[in-house]
Parts: sequence; C-alpha cells; structure tokens
Amino acid sequence: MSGELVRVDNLSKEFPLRSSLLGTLLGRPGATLKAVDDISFSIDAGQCLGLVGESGSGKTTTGKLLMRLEDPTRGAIRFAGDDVSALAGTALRTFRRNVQMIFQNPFESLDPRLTIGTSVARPLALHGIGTGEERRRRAETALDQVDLKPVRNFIDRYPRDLSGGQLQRGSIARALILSPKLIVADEPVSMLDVSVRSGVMNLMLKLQAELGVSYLYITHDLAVARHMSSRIAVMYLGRIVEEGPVDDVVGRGGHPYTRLLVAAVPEPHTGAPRARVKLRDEAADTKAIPSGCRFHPRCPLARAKCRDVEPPPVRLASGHWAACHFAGEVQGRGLGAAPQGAPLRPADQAMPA
Amino acid sequence: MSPGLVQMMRLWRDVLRGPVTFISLLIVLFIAGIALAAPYLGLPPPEVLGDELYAPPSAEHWMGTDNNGRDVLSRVIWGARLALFVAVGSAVLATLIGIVLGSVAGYFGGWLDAIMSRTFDVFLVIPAFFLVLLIAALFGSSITLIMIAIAITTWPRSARIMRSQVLSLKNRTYVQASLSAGASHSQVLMQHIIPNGLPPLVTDATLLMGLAVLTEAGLSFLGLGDQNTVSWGRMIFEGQRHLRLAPWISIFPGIAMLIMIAAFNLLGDGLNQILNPQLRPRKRAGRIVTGFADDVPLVAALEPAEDDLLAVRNLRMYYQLEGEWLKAVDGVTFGVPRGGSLGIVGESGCGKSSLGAALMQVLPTNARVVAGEVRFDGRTVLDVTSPAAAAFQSVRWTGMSMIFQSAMNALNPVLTVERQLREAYLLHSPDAGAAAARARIGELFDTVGIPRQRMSAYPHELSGGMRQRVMIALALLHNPALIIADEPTTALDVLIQDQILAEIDRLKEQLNLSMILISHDLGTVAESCERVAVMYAGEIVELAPTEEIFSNPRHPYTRSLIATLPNLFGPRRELVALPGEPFVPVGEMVGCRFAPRCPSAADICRSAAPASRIVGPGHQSACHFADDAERLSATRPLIGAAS
Repeated sequence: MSGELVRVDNLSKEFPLRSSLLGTLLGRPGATLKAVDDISFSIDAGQCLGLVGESGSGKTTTGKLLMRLEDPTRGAIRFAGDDVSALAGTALRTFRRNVQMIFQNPFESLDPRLTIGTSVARPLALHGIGTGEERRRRAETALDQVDLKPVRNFIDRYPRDLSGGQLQRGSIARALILSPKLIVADEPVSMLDVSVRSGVMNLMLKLQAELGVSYLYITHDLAVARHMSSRIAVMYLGRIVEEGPVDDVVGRGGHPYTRLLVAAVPEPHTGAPRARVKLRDEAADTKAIPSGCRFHPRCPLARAKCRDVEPPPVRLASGHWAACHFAGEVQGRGLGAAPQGAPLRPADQAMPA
Repeated sequence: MSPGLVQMMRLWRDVLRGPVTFISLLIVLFIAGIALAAPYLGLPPPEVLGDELYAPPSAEHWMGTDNNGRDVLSRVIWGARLALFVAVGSAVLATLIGIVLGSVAGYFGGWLDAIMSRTFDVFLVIPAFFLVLLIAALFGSSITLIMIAIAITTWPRSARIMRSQVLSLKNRTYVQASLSAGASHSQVLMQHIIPNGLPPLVTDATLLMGLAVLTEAGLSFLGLGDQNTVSWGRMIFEGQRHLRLAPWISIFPGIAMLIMIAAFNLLGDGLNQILNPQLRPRKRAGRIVTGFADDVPLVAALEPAEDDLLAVRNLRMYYQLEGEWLKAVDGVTFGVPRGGSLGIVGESGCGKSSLGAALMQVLPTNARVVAGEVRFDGRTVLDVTSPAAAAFQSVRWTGMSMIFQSAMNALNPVLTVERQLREAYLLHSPDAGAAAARARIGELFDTVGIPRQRMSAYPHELSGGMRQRVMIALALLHNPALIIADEPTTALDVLIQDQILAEIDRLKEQLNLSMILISHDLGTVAESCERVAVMYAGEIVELAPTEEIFSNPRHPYTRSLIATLPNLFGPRRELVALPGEPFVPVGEMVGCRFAPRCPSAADICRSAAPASRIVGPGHQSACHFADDAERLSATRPLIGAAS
C-alpha cells in the first residue's frame, strides 16, 4: 500500500453570512465566512493524517468537503487521481462508496428508529448491493470486525439500548461495510468516556492495519492525533499553518501556534511545572480574519511584519513546513525565539509559571 | 420477530402503561366502534319521524325523542359517524399536506423556505373559522367539502411543526451519515427525517381532530352544515329552540361532543408522553432498594485531619429514579487542608459533579443526601442526623463558593455581567451600597484579568475565556476560603483552557485559597492539585499525593486511567482498553464495582467489596490487592516508566 490516495489543492469554502433579501435580489455580494481558506494537503494510501485545530479552525468543514457533504467554493479534490470536487448525481454516489465518515456524537450517529443491523446494512441497500439476507450477513461480519460480540446480542438492538462506545463501534461498522478506501473521522472519541476511548482508538488502528484503509483524523487533542497519525496538519482560522511528520510537528514545530498547542498539554507524569506563556484571551473569530499572519494578534512572538505580510509556507525538512516568517528560528528555539525587530506588543511577555 | 413489530409492541406496552392514554384510546375506539356499527345496531332510522314528540328518556328511547319524534340516541350515534369522518378525514388530509410542504421547506431551505414559511404564516393568521365559512358558503355544504375546508384551514399548523422537526433532524449525524453513504435527498427524507419527525404531528393530529369536530358542529349550528346528514351541531342547533321543553335534545349530542373532544385531547397528550423521548425517563436495570444499609463499612481509611478546612465523612448522595436509587456519591470521606488543593478525577457518571453539588448543597430535586457529615472551618455545615444544627447558609459563597462548568449557562444572557455580580454581592452583603459593590467588582476584574470597561458587557459579548473569568470573579466575590471548581475549562479551547487554569493556579497562591478541582482529565488535575482522589461508581477508589498517583498507583482503575491516555512525548505505547462501560451504581451491589472490567480481578473481587486501606503516607486504595504488586501489574503500564 503506497501512493497518494487523496490530494487537495487550494481548497476553499465560504459560507454566506446572513445578508438582506434586497441585497440578494440586487445581486450585491454579501459578507462571507471563510471556513476553509486555500488549503492543500495529501493523504497516502493506508496512512492517517491528523488534522488538528481548535473550534472554528475549519477542520470539520475540511472533513465535510472531502466527503463532498459540502461543495467547495474553490479548489480541487483528487481522489485516486480523479477530480471529485464537482461530481454530482450518480458519479457522486459512486464516489461515496470509497469514502465514509465517522462522526463525533455517537448518540446521534445511528437512526433511533432502526436496529443496529439495519443501520449498518443500510449503505449496501442504498447502493443496491446483495439481497436482504446477504446484507445481513455482511452486517454481521462488520459488527464482528468492530468487536460488537456476540453479534446476535447487538444486531437487532436499538441505539437507545447501547452505550456510547458501543454506538461508536456501530458507526464504524457502518462506515466499513462498503469497504471504503478513506474514512474521515471527526473527533470520534471526544464524547466517549476516557476508559472507553482507548478501545475505539485501538480498534481504528487495528482496522487500518488489517484493511489498509486511510484516515483523515480530525481532533483538537494533539496527543490523540499523535497516537493515531503518521502526519499532522495544524489548522488555524481556516488555514493549515503547519504540516509534517507527527514527531517533527510535535517535537520540532516551526509555528508558534503549534508550539503553544504542545505547551498547553499538561504532562502529568513529569511533575515539573510547565512554562506557561500568557496569551491575549481573545478567541479566534472566523468572521474577522486578521491581516498578515492570522495568528499575529495572539502570537507572543509577533513583529510588525506579521501584522503586515502574510507568511508563505517555509520548508523546514522533507515533508515538513510551517507558515511563519520565523519558522526556522521557532523550530530551533521554540517560544523562546527572539526574532529581529521590536515585539508588536511589549506588554505580554512570558509570565511566571 | 421483525424490528417493526418489536417497535409496535413496545409502543403498545407504553400505551398500556399510561392509564389516561389507555382510557382515552378506549373511548375513541368505543365511539368509533359504535359509530361504524350504527346500521347494524337495530336503531330506529335517525331521520324517520315518529309519533312520540318530546318524549323524555325512557327504556324505549334511552335519550328521548326530539320535536319530530326522532330517536335522539340513534341520531347521536349517526352523528358520531359524521363527526369521526370529518375529524379523521380533515386531520389526515391536513397532516399529509403539512408533512409534504413542511419537509420540503425545512429540508431545502433558502429562498424556497423563506417563501413557503411566509405562506404558512399568512394562512395561520387568517381566522380559520371564517375561511371555512367562506368555503362552505361559496361551494355549498357537502360533508366532503366541509372536511376539505377544515383541512385547508388547519394544515399550516402541521406544516410548521414538520418544518421545525426537519430543521433539527436534517443536521442529525445519522442523516449526514446516510448522505455520505450515498443516499439521495429523497431517500434521506423518506427513510430518516420524516419517520423521526412524525411523533409531534401524530400528537397534533389528534388535537386537530377535536378542532375539526368543533368546527363542523359550529358550521351546522349556523345552518351551513350538510343538510342531508345527521350532525351533532345541527342537533344542538335544532334542540336549542326546545331547550325548556326538552333539554335532552341538545344536551346529549353536547355531552357526546364533549367526551369525544376530551378523549382526542387526552389521547394527544398521552401520545406525546409516549412518543417524545425527552419526556420518557430512561430505564435502568437493577433491583429496587427500599432501605439503606447503615452497616456498610466506610470506604475510607484516611480520616480528615482535625484542622482541615473542609472535612467530609461518609457522604452519600443518591438520586431517586423510578423506584430505585442511583448511588451517585456513596460513602465518600476526605479532607482538604487550609490552602491545600484536592483534585477529584473520574469519568462521567462517577459522581464527581454530584459530590460538588452535595458540598455546595445545590441538589437537583430528585437527589437526597442520605448519610454523612461535612465540617467547614470547624463548623458543621451538613449533618444528616441533625440537619437543623447545620449552618451551611453562613458559609455559602462567603466561606466556600463554586466555579461552574458552563459559564454560558450559569450567566443570565439578558443582564450585564456587572449587574449579575452586583446582585450576588448584595445578596450576601445587603448593607453594602451599590458603590461598594462596584468597587469590589472592579477590583475583582483586575484580579482575574478582565479590563474594567467590560463590566457593562452582556455575557454573549464576551469570549468563552472571558466568561469563565467572570465565573471566577463571581466565585471570589466574598473572599471565600475554599473554591470548588467543577470542570472549569472543559468547554474551552485548548489554549484558553491553559490560560484559565494558569489563572486559577495563580489566584490560589496569591489568595491562599483552598481548592477542589473536579475534572475528567487526570493531566489537568495533576498539574494544579497537591492530592488526587480517583472516583469510580460513586466511591473514592484511590486517594494519594499527586506524585504518588502517577508514580505508584495502587488501584487497577487508576492504573488503567493512566494507561488509556495517549502521550504526547516519548515512545508511542499501545493504549490499554478496558472492557465494558463504567459501572452504574444502582440496586444491590456485591463485590468491587470495578471488578467486571478489572484486568487484575480475582474471585474475591466479585464476592466482597474491598475496604480502603492505607498503602503509604497519605495514600489509600480500595483494592483487595493494593499491596500485591504482582497482581496489580496485570493492569498494565505505568506512565512513569515510559518517561
């Protein structure tokens, strides 16, 4: 298993903000919300790309674009070499046999009126595959694959009889039944109890090893992303700001945002207090994207250049880049880097831990 | 058995369970049965004139006769046929129109929705009765036309309900999942959205039926009804002229109408209870507990110290659920020293938040503290054996206060944050003036790092991090000695989470606060707290200094919690996965609550509940094998070993 399965080029998604009816009729362009703004990445067959970001970073929209649940505003999505960004009708349905999605909320992922078996087999029915009996047999196999055993105890149960972890396994079974090449997993464990999470993560890794399926793993949790993925892309306000092999990004990140994300993870076993950097409290707002580098208002290293000039991606190593004017310096010295020029806001410097 | 059949049987069982629903259904079925059987009941024909005029109810004419000598009973029964026809016909028609238009508007949205919903609204403001009157007057008054006229005036109700149902259902994950599996929009609508959206429409349809009966009767009463059929409305209309002489002519159809409409409405109510899952209590397995065993050994080995600021002994807080008790907090004992901090860690449902609520004595209505004693600053603030002696009010918010999880829910959206803080301030310092309150709030805003000019902001105008800072200011208002923080950063983004935790840590040092930090995240707690209590199924299973919890965990549950977390640095480890789901402490329990999932469990764990024992300085564990390193190591890795 190798080679590129998915390639995304300059993908954007804008949502129209509420505009007046009159404005629409007069053809006046309303304001838009740039959920995803010109991103490019690729996923190799059998690999997992971790897409990390906070709420509002556009990571979920990216997943939906890849699934073609949302139509891209601009850009191309190539799947196994074919451009799928404009597919419609039958072609779109055929494409969807190859990509499936696992969602965050297990309690809403399965239709409450249908038994687990029916829900799992439904994709087969939608594509007219097999007879009722064959579909049920394949549902049994899928439930067995996700360790909902003994299968007969689960196949005729309703979602309300199952726990969150079991439901999420059911969703995975449904995603697997068409033997997709790519699964987009949007925070699949964040709503599960801690002691149940690891089981679902292990299951996903096992399926990846056995079936060679690729994942786009969307999460806000860097440690989870690191555990699941071989590469990580960090998103901030609709942009990918850094991408690279997992341990390069986590250990030698070149973007201050990545560094801050890493620093914000409490490391329980070390016992040593982390050096905490004081940030301005303002959360990212997709409706008002800052000029220049979109992270500059919160960045402890920001210089005048960051406010004025949008940083291009800087290559740091093979397959590792970061979109920061000072990426090299940040990679070397982390948040302790002291780029040339006066800090944009002398007020907020490192605070005592 | 087919799933459909199973679902039908479940529904039926629920109907049987609610007596009102069941009785109203019986009444409706009874009326329907009699009405349908009218031709075969051997009644005198309803329109045939008789010789006995104005005969009062008798054995021969149960409901008497009218001014033309017709049998009133027969006419009431034939009238029921008409009422049912109109009711069911118009309700079904209106609902069908509503489903189609409502789902199209809701699902496709955009300008189509804008136009369609306006249309619904316009139809809704037209007085229904006048529209029916108009239709009846224009097109004549056959019963079918009346039925259609009623449907035309009532469908916007169904359409609006359906639209709002679809609006919420179309974003459900299973709809997205079905689309991504390749379903078309019509398939999604037919298979997932409409079936799941139906329940409130079914309920509303029964109400529509009652409305239709009334409308038809009103029309007949005005003489606009179908002259060729027997209708309750027409009977009342005709009977009113003879009300003195023969009240039964109009009273009996009136009663029949009342019963029918009441039955429809009650049925609607009952169906709503059954079909609306939000009104349905979740059922749990387990036996009913009638009394509480007072002889259960205390689960704690470490007693609170004499000079601890907060001392909790054997606290039990149970929730009443349908005749059984959920033992959310089940015998918890611990102490928090002055200036000290304790982290309480556990998964959802372990009782950690209930413990916080019990300590602050903000109990949900179905919760009871059934045992225990809490002392704060040397005073008893909670004592189940003599509640009157407890003096919690004197320490609430002034001695101990709380930072709540969701700032958005805890703050009132229509009041400025200053106003809310002021009210909380004056509540406990009623003599202080507005100026003193303002000064205090400004001081606190400085303390928690919010610019003073944001005092007049409304909650929605603040970012999530700012709102959480307001919550911290609220907790600090009266200089408490102890703050209980219940998941104070869970709803926030990673970076802001870190900032808020740093703020809490700083304030703790600066103000010499004692602190209880409740969290699902071991890492968060570890960093901020000196000691950690791990809760599972209502009990503290392990309590130790933070370092000990990580370097020397002596309970398999603690060990698994650590080993289930992926690490950010160091070699990637395989994660430990526990079988099953967290234990729900309901009913009688035998053995250790963690035993069903415990990799180290032995026979004794399934038969005897382990008592807490001291395993080191300030370190207790409630495990039979707390001292058996070899058996404990069956529950794998130690994070400390990895780093």
